[in-house]
Amino acid sequence: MERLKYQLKSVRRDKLCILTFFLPVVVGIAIRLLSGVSLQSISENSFGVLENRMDADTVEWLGANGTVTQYESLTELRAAVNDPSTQMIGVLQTGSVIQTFISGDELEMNRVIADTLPQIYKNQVETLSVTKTMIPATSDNDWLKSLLIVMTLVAAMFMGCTFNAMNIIGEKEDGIEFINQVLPMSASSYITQKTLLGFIGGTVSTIITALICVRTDIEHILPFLLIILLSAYISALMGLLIGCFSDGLMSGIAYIKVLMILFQAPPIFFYLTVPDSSIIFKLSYLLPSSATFYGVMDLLNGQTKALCPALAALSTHAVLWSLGYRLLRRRSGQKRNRL
Amino acid sequence: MIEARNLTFSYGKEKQALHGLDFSVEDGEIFGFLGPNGSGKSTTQKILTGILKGYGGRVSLFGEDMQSGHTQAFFQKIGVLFEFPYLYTNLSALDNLHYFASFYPREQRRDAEELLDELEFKKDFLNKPVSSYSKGMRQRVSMARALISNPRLLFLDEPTSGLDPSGAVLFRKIIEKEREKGTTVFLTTHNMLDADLLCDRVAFISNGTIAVLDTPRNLKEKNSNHSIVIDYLYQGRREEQTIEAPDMKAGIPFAYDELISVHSQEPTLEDMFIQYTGRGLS
Amino acid sequence: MWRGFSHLLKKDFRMMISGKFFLLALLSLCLYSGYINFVYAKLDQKIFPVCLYDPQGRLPDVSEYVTKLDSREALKAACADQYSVGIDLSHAEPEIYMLSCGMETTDHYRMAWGEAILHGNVDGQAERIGANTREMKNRREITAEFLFFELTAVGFLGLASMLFKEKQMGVIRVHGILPVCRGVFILSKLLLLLCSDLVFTILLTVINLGVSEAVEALVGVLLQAGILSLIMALVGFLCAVRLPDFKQFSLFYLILAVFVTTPVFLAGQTGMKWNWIVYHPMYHLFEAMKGAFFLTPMTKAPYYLACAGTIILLFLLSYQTLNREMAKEG
Repeated sequence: MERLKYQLKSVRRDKLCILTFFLPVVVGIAIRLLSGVSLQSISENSFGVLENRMDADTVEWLGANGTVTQYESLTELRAAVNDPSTQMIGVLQTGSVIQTFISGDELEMNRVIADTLPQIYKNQVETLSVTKTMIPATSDNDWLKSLLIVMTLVAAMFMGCTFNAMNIIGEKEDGIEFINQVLPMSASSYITQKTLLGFIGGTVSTIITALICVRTDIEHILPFLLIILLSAYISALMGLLIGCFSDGLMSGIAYIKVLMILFQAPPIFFYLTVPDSSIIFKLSYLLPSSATFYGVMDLLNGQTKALCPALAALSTHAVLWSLGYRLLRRRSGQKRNRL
Repeated sequence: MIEARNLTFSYGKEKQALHGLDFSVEDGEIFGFLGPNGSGKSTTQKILTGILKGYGGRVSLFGEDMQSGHTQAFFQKIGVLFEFPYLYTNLSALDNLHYFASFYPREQRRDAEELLDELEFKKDFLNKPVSSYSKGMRQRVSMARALISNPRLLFLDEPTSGLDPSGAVLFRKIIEKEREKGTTVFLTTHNMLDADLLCDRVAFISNGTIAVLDTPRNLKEKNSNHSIVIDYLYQGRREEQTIEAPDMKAGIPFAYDELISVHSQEPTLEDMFIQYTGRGLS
Repeated sequence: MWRGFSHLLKKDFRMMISGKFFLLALLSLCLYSGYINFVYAKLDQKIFPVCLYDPQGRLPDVSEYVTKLDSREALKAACADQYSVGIDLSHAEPEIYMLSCGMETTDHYRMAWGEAILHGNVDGQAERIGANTREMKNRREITAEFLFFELTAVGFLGLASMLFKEKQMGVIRVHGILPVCRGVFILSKLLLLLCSDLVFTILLTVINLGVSEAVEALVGVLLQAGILSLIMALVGFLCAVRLPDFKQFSLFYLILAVFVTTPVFLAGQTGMKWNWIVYHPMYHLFEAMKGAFFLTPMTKAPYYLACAGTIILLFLLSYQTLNREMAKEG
């Protein structure tokens, strides 16, 4: 513990590690502060209308189906509809009929909505006798917010590697690795010490972030903690590998960046674009961060479907990476002796 | 304490660094290991400290064969001062010493503050990060790190490098003090004054072989031409004469009015090194 | 002076090659182009699928948006994604069944969409006022984003890592006593980086927009890329000379990448409106870049004046900082 205290002190004085630690926390606070509405509005239908040129009822009806923005002139409205960063549908009213116009570069969903909106508007009058069953959402399901939270948590867990990687690289740069070779310290004690650094950093940062922006049921806390612990452990092993293979600060930082991109982008891509029953989706479990991502996303959505495969995949990764690291260390040790 | 027999080592197939070194270091001795860059002295020290394995021949330290592996018990008995002051630059001197001391049994450790005081470390800097220290201060902390575990065998690589003359004198005193305590010192250096003043015996290593091994005094005596240069004034003129030492038995064998200086022509250690190895120390 | 300049250019070019700068740029080009062509260009979102359970066949003409199912259980399972809309016609009164997606307005529209399907009237054609297809819009949008990211973050890092190497080797100090103007020391690096960025811009634009569209956009895009490249290279130079080590530089880089570019991307890409974003200088650079890709080039003179002023100011600052650094090192 005494040794760990000084190692943590050294990490604490490393500005890069401090920033890494607090970055997810700050992002977590930002997500929490951003109102749900502002994030939801991105995925809502967006309608643009002319000010004072539409019935209040129509505006109200449009408002029930999405966000409505009013423009003073047709030129402004057309410019807003044409703005490539929006999916806005322009709506004009003539008597009891509405017409729509779009830029033509929208997603298929918005094109279909624009094409069929006048007809749906007309349907208001000719209502059918229909039973409407709406099962309420099991959780505060703002998917974009959930996505941002999960991305932040995954980043926090896997950024744990920064703590021990930077510590090892720092030791290399300061020449401490030479002293380590003549200290009465076993290899396992060294590995434990360095793994703990990454593990503690990743876990604490994730837990603080989670406390800020995650609200989950009590029964989900234990599996959530398990995911955090396993991911932080795997991340700490990555940190050991990065530290081991980096020959300097520049290459170490480059490795960490590549790792973070590799661990962040594919799970988001697979989660959003590939059906979870497909082989590609299952293959994505080869990346530990995918398992973390799917597991946490499931928990945030109040589901447990992906939990077991995620925990199984993370446990397997933890064992395999541990064995892989030991093997690599043994090999590099033999190589060093041969030199 | 240390015994090396036919010690060989090669980096790769065609880079033989050591060609069968034979030497031994007695308990409580200060043994100087001198050689130019690339001569194999660092390799030898790395083998002795257990950093390099895969050597040929036999090496025993503390009476145990090192081929069987350097155990934690072995590392508890040695202290190593590297050529450069390797320290955690973002931690203070005290933090560094407390951290490194934590690897040794409590009863073996020395008090960090006392040790730094002995090394005349500025008290104001005790809790400041190493990154703010001068080279001399870093060297003092490094020396304290090497001594903190009360080692029985001390490996010192260029201990006085980066120190001002008073610092160098202090370090030599500390090393002498260690010898008085019974610590064996393996000193690797380029500094001939350090070697001359401190070492009981010195070995000159060149191209992976030991060219000569003896006490500095013997080395100098053996190679001395026993001549003396005398500078004197005679009848108002300044003159100089070289005479053989035995000629001095009956006093100065020539007439003079006033003696200005008398110089023995004993060679220096550096002269000896060049003589034995054919290379200068660099 | 120009002889010295050509030697500096040669040396910097060799440094860039040995630092694998061009290799990294090529790899980025391949990665971005692969992602744009195989993923982003095809990105789309389908309208809410309608799942129909109609054992008696009461709805004879089903639209293209409808998928028929065999049981109520299958309908429930299909609607579990909180996106699909279910229609159950097994009882006398039709039932629209769905799981809330958590957004009131979207749920309201989904219900109306289910009713429209039941009505059987989902025809119509909205007027198209734009010139781009979805795919071309996606291509222009993401190419602009990647180019902006590459120039602000990656290029910035490339120049700085090259300069840090020179700092570590101590050769900056040597340049202080060479008979060469110190401004030329900065200029040679700027020129190389600018050329490299412009070549990267041309390749990225041509590969991802296609030759004809790229030709139309290239003049504007190259102008914006040149401005951005010069500004970021000078900022990178300034930081690399000013900051004591690469670690601090990385810290600064992280802050730049996360806190400076993220709001710009969010504001520029999602239609999120923040009033304060107009005070963010990078936002205007991003908008100008995007405008160039969408053939609506930035025409405001104050923008170009501000850019020119910034470049001159940054150059002078870099020159002064370099002088100070050389004196310090010496």
